[in-house]
Formats: sequence, structure tokens, C-alpha cells
Amino acid sequence: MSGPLLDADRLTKAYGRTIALRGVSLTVSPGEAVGLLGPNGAGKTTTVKILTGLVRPSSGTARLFGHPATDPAARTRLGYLPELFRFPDWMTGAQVVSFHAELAGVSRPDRAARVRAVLEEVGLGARGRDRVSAYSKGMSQRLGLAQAIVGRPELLLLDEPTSALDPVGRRDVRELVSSLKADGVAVVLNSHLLSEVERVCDRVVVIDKGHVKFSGTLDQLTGEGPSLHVTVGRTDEELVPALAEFGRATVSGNDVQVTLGPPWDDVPDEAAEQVAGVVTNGPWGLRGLAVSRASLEDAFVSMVSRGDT
Amino acid sequence: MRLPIVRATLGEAFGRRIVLWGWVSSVLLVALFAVGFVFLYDQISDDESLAATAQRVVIGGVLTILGLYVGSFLSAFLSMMLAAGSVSADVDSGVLQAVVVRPLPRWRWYLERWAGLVTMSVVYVVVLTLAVLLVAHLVSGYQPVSIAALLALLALQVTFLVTVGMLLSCRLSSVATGVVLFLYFGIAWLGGFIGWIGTVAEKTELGTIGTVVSLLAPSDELWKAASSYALPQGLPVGLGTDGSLGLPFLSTLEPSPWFIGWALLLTAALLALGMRAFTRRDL
Repeated sequence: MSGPLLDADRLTKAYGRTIALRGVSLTVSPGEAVGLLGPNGAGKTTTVKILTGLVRPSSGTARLFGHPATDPAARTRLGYLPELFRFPDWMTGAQVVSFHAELAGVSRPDRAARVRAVLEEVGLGARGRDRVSAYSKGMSQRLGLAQAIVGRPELLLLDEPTSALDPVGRRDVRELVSSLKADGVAVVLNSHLLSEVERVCDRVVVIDKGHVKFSGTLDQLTGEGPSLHVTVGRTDEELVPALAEFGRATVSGNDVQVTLGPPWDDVPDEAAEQVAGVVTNGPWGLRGLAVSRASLEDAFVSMVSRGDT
Repeated sequence: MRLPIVRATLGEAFGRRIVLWGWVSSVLLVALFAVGFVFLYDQISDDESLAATAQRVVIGGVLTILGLYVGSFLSAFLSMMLAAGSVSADVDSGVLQAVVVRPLPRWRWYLERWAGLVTMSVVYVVVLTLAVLLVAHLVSGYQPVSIAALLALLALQVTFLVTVGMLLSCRLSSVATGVVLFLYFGIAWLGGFIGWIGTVAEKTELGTIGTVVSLLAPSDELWKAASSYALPQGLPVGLGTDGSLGLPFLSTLEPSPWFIGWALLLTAALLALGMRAFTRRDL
């Protein structure tokens, strides 16, 4: 499909007198990972629910794969993990995933193998035969992910996918989402965990009070690209020109801040290796080097606390 | 697709042991009925006189219909309980959100869920009714007028209640649905009782009230229609020609085909309304 997989145009939603959305527009292209950010009550979940056809917008349109979101045909290639969900606790984990595989159209001959593979993928391979009632919150979250991906979706909507997970579980989910993204799956990630969004998403959309306050790359949101913090044994006037090819360098005592410019800002780790080589081969002596990025949290908090739209 | 929601609904009934406990309580009911039936039937004179024969037929009939009445009440209660949380509980718990996002039209989820609940309710009422009739037959040689018509009307009664319950469950919480549904069932019973008083006391106004209530809430009238087919074959001529045997919970009159048609139409309309309401609601 050449156009966007997801295209929401000026969505509004009113619940009685409460207006949850005031004209949210959003597009997601194939293979893209988009983070939805916003404070509690901003309208993120309402947006996701409209995109999945769970909620009808008061006005505006939401289309998936070219179909209206309320049309079942729009959801044939969609995977969705709701924010608040439960699975029938009398079923086993494998039965839940198999049930969703059937609903997603996975053929009967392929189903058992697909269910096993997906349970392995989310780390529940050994617990597939246990009843859901015996699952911890983290395991239920993994099961939620398994049902979301069992139909091999091209677009994955994840609403707070790591809210119940421990750090190891979060890392696993991050790696899973990154691997799906690498396979060309487009991802919309609604999360309060900014670090997660930062690591997974190409683009962020900040929603506040029902409005889109920002839509763009992380660098655009934070205002500047990644930088390197270099600590050297000594400095001289040759140091800044030596690092100029990597971006803008400023020296303060034995500390050098290098704000990476193109093309290094896209590959900060590679830039760090190169800078380390330049400094080590010169007379300055490398004492320390760290990659840093302007805090997404700072930019986000600043944006949503400004109150302007 | 092979009716996944129907299978899930039936699987849930087994998984949650609803089926198990439903049958345990039913076996107890049938056992109790058998003991009572045997005890009371033994009290009747077993001579071959016409009066004694008539007494055996009538007493056997009344006892059997009482057993069926209790069975019908239990089946109605079960169907109402099943329907009360059929939509709202799944919405509130978050079970439904991941399911309806699948490429499955919402009306189809609703229809399959309805079919699953109706299947459970109908199987329950059919088996329970046949068990009561079997006991009555073994003890007294009891033969109802028409088992098929009796079962069909009882099945329609529970189907109607499931349909109303699911429609309410689209809009109300599980508890509110249960309360409203039980009140609705009670109003239907009360309407039937008022109608019976109107018939016996020859008060046209009361009869009209009973008729109107039975059209709006036909569950009690469906039971009465079913009971007319549960009457014993060979009922003495002239008995109950006024529409009753002097009892408010059964009818000796053959039900009007118009009423049966109306009950079917109402059930279909409420099912369609439920599908529409579920398709349009935000989840």
C-alpha cells in the first residue's frame, strides 16, 4: 500500500459536555513507529479507540488501510493491545491466542504452529498450557502482546504495552517491537514511559487537552540532536577544529560538548567511536566519553505545561 | 470461520462450571419431584372406577405441570442470569475490546453470543422438561398432549428472555440488567395472574390488562401456552373449558397462533434492536 496505513483527519469526540478530542489528525506510514504522548486525560486512548473502531468520532474521519475504521475490512491487518484488558480466565494462554488467531483469519492448519511461535516470542512458551487465572499481571501483558501479533499485523496499536512489566519485561517488549518494526510492521505506541518511546519511535505526536500539540521527530521535539560529552586530559586550540567535522564543539575546562551535526546525528554511537579515535590519536588524552540527548522528558513536560495550543 | 464466538460462549459455560452446577441443581430438582410425585400419587385410590381414573389423570396432570412450572422457572432464571452479563460484563472487564477489534462485524459477535446463550438455555429447559416428563411417565404412565409443542414453546420462552437480557446488557450494567430483567419477568407473571383473575371473575377490564401485559412481556403467557400442551391426554371432557383448571399457572386453552407469531416477531425485533445497539455503542 503506497498511502498511509492510518489516516485520522480532524477527529473530535464529545462525551456529553466533556470534549475529549478537538480535531486530532494523525498519519502513520508503512514501517513507521509513532509514539503517542500526552498527560493523563489528554485524549490518547480515545484517539486509539477511534482508530480501532471501538469508539465512533463525533466528527472527522479515521481510516485504516484505506477503509473506515469501523469497517471490519479495515482491521484485517491490524494488531491491537488495549490499555485495560482481561482475557477469559477459564482459558489457557494458548487457547486465548488460538482464539484470536482464528478471529484474525489464521488458517486452521497454520494455527497451532503460529500460536506456539508467538507464545515463544513473548516469553510464554513454557506457560501456554496454564490457565490465564494463574498468570501474573506481567504474564497477562505478554499474553496481550501475543494476541496482538498473532495475525501478523502490518499495523500494531499498543496502548501502554509495558505498564505492568518489570524492567526485564520492558526490555523484552522493546526488543520485540523493534524487531517487528525491522520486519516492516508499523507501530503506534501509546505510552507514559518516555524512555520507551524515545528508544522505539521514529516520530512522536503529543496530544494535550484533545489537541495535537506537536507532531515530528524526537530531535525536533527536544530541539537539538544527540551530543557527545568528551572528557580529555588537556586541551589546546587544535581540539575544536579536530572535532568540527562531527558538529559544533564547545570546550569548558577539560570537558568538550560536541552537538552532532549531519550525518553523525543519525549515528551517534558511530560518531562516538570516531571521536574517541580522533582524541586518542591526538595529544589530548581521552578520559571519558558519553552519548547524550536532550531530555525528551524535559521537552515533553515543558510542552504540556505551557498551556498554549 | 466456524462460529468462534458460539464456541467460546459454550466453552465459558463449561469452563466456569455453570453447566456442572446447573445440572447438579437440576438433578436435585428432578429427584425431589420424583419423590414427591411417587408419594402423592400413591395416596390416590387405584380402583378402576371412572371417578378414580379421572382423579388420577387430573392429579397426575397437576403434579406434572407443577414440576414443569418449577423447571420452567429455573430455566427462565438461568437464561436471565446468563444474559444479564452477556455484554456489559465483557465490556467492563475488558474482555471484549480485543475481540471486537478483529475483522468480525459487531452484529456477528452479538448474534453468535446470542446463539450460544440460547443454545445453553434451550438445551437446559429441554433436558429438564424431558426428565420431569419421564419421571411422571414412569410413575403414572403420564402422556402429555404434545411433547414437541411443549418443548418448542418453553424454548421460545427462554429464547425471548435471553434476547431481552442481551438487549438490556448492551446499555445497563450486569446488576442493573439482572434487576430489570427479573422485574420484567415478575410483571409478566403478575399480568398473567391478573388476566386469570379477570377470566375467573369475568371482569373484562382485568382480562384486557392481562392481555396487554402478555403482549408486552410474553414470558408468562408463553409458559401458559406451553402448559396447555403439557396437559394429560384423555383429560375429562368439559374440564377447564373456561381457560383454566382453577389454577393461575396453567392454561387448558390451545394458544392462539397469533400470539405465538407475535412472540416470535417480538423476539426477532428485539434481537435486531440489540445487534443495532451493540454495533453503535462506544466500547
